[in-house]
Amino acid sequence: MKVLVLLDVAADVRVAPERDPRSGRVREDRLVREIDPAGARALDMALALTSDRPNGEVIVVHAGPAENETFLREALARGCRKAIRVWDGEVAAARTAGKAAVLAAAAQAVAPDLVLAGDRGVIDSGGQVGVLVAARAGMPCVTKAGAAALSADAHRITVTRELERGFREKVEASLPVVVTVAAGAAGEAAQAAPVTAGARLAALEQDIPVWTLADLGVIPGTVRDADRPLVAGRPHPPRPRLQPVAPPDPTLPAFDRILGLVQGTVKAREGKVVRRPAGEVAQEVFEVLRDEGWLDHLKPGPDGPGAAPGGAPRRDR
Amino acid sequence: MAQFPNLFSPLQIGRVTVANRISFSAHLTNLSVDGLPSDRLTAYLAARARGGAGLIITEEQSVHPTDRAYERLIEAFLPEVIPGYKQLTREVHKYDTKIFAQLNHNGQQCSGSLTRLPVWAPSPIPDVLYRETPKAMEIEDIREVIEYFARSAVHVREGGFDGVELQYGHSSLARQFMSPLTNYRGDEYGGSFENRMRFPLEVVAAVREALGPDFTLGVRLCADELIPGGLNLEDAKQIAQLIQGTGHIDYINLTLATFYNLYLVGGPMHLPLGYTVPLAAGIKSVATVPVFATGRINDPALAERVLAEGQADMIGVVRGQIADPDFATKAKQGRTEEIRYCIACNQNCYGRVGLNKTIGCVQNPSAGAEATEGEHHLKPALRKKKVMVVGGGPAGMWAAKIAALRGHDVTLYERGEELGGQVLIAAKGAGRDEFGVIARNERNQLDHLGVPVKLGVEVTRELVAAEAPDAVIVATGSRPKRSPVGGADAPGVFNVWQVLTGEAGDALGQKVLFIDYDGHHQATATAEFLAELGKTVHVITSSLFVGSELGPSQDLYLTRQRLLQKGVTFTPDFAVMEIKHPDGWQAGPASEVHGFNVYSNAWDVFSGYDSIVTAMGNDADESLYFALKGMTVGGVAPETCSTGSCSTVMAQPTAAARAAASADAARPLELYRVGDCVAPRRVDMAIYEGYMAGKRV
Repeated sequence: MKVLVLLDVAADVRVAPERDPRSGRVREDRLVREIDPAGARALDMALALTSDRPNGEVIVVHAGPAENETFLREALARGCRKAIRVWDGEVAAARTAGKAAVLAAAAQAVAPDLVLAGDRGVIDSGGQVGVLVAARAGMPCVTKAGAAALSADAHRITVTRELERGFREKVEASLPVVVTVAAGAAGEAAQAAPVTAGARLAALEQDIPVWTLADLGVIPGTVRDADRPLVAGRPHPPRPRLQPVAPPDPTLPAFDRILGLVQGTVKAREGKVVRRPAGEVAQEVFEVLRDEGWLDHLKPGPDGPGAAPGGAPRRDR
Repeated sequence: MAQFPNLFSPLQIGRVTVANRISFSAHLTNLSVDGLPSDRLTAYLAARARGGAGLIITEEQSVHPTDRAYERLIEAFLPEVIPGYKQLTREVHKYDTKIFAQLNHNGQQCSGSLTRLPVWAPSPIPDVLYRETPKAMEIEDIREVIEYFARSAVHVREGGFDGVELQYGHSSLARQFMSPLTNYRGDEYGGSFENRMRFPLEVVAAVREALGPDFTLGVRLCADELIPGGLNLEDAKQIAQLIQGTGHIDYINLTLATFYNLYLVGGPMHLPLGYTVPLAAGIKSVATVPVFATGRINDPALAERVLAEGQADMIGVVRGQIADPDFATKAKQGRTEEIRYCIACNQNCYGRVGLNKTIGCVQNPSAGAEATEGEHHLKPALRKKKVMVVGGGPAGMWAAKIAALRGHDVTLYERGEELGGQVLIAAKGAGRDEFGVIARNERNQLDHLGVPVKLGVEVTRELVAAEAPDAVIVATGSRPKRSPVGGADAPGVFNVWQVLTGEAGDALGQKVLFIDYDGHHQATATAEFLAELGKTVHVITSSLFVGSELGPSQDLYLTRQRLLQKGVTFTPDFAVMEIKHPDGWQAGPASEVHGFNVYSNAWDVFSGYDSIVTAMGNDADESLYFALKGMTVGGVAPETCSTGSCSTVMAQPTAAARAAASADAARPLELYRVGDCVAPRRVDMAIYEGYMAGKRV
């Protein structure tokens, strides 16, 4: 059971940043840094998931300069088996998508059963890195994890997702999978297990290999290409086929007629769980979108772009 | 136009061809003066005509001296209205817009205290809102009102209008005759359906005769009274068929409900968009004349869809055009991102007119003042200034937008990661998501104008000194007020922000005691938010009832209904005096909330709750303002002078150097303070002050 943790480093937001008195800008060189809170929670989760498994090991990987090795040693002291640092000139200039390309290559090199990453960093708050790594590595992804449990055979993982406004959702996924871990509520993030002095000393002795892009087999220019800004086309919002609403039933009591208006005439659809290979799931999703008319705008002809709304033929569903 | 082909196709209504399907339907403005149309009303309606509305229908014009539902009602039965009507219609007709006048008698739904006359109605049944027992109209009274309808219609025609609309809807004498709920007459005007229809049909016939056959005439029907014993959609369909069968009318406009359920007339944010469309669809199924639909249709895409689905022929966009008078033009030109979308908060439209104030809009500070205010009246600044706007809430965004529109070099600073300020927190309340559209609307405007926005920057006196702007507009907002009640500082006692942002998290536990000092959405939407998370919530307030400030915006009924449906319980009239924590400093089940009933003075204790949440308003975040007050900017800093660069400039007194030295001279900072950092209030004042600061800078 090999778990790979993608570690990021962020400014410690509890320490007030120092500003240049002339420009008012934050002095980056004086920032106090730490393991990103969401990443630290991912590390804790990885150690907890593997703690009672004899063949369990946690490997931590970080794309950053040599001075950040101190955080990798911190991870080793907490119980990671191995730490890897990825660095070269092209990585130094990488932004979110570029960093994801590098980490995805590292993940493919390690070939883990499970990849854990912080959901969103303190500075890079887009929450994109883990998702982009999954996309690059061709792995499924579960986001915003608050808790996770592995099945007894370690083939499946059950993730409790922490959604907006306090809602939670349980998701089950087959391994391998990328899971991004939420930072959690304020004050909760940095509750690491105590680390012994012995463990810290051992971590200081441990060798941390440095992989370059050449080691990972990443073609030069890949990182720059990944970071190239997207060119957005003209938005073309899909429009479903017309579905005229039915007048309310006048025989209902007034209170129920009011409830009908208040609640709207659109009924929430029931969810459907499809347990099939990824390709078949994609096909099923495509068919639903096609049958409900959400893709009509992509078709050439009367339903296609520029067609008059309302011109689409109505189908019985 | 290609985006909304149905919405921007013409419609023939009687003898009138309307250029598009967007109407600015009848609604109360309180802009009349002494019973006559005013310049403010003219400017208000003309602004919507300039903005591209195809049709405007005026607010109700009273047809009889016994009808006075509110103080500032225009009296169409007086010939003195004609000059004002002519001015009004002339201004609207400058654009490709038609205008109809709505005629009405409110019957039992008005007040004799305003007229010093008895209220007239079909039967002596008091209205639920006015609670005044009317005089049952005698036959002579009925004939007089019919004659006055015809007389008023002639004044409308003389005044240059394109059509007349008869109000038979939610607040009308005609509906009271039609409805078995309010008509208990035993003569030929009561009893059977035919008898109850006699008065409205006689009015239609008399008005048509007065107007002649070549003038457009329509009726506004109540599609469903939604009250036990009242008219329902089937009845409304019969009424529609009977009235259109006379051949006198050219269109049917729709409304719904009565004063028993007024919250359904101008549906607040919690009602779904287009909530009346099913009723319009019902009437449309039997109508042979065009049918108008209105009710939370605030988006051209939704309006287009209702038209495309054949459920109405004309769309009333009222609040949408109060919020953005240029709604129609922007939609026609495909500039939908620039539309300032209505959020149906009702705080300054319904909320103001219901309190006898002139109409307004939280998002549009010029609503009701179109003659002098608004983006169309902005003048370019004579001197382009460098302006720092500090705070990306509604006040700051408006100040930045208006200052940028006037040509200033504006930069907007926000310490958070997103523009929106407290709007973003308010939008997290249960069902209040649409409130966040305020922030989206203004973000779109700033994007459109290309105003630089610096996020995550805490502006300090040092930063201002370094940037050396000509002016700073401080819009730093406010923070939740600390409760003065003893024990409220304990961990486990949270404010609304901590709940809505998730900061309180699991520490809230399962049982929550909510202390409401606010009475507005801040309290109720947060209590509902907690209930939606499955928590057991009890709300205590010193007011008569929970949600005491929600009446004017029509939010009260549905809010209370939802809270009750979600299991929230209430204790009103209770003043909290102290929170005790016998087991220590942390609030928890052992904590006791002590207080007394404000009427009986009986003391009581609430205990057994896992946490306590308070909603009690905010304190101004004014520190930056006072740090900058009296500050000078520009000039050469003393340490720079000491290096000699200052003297270098002075040693070469060329014209250019003199100009540079003058520009660099230390000058007092032009400083403004707007919104909550002045005094924490509602979003309308933040936006208004932001707008004014942008105009003044």
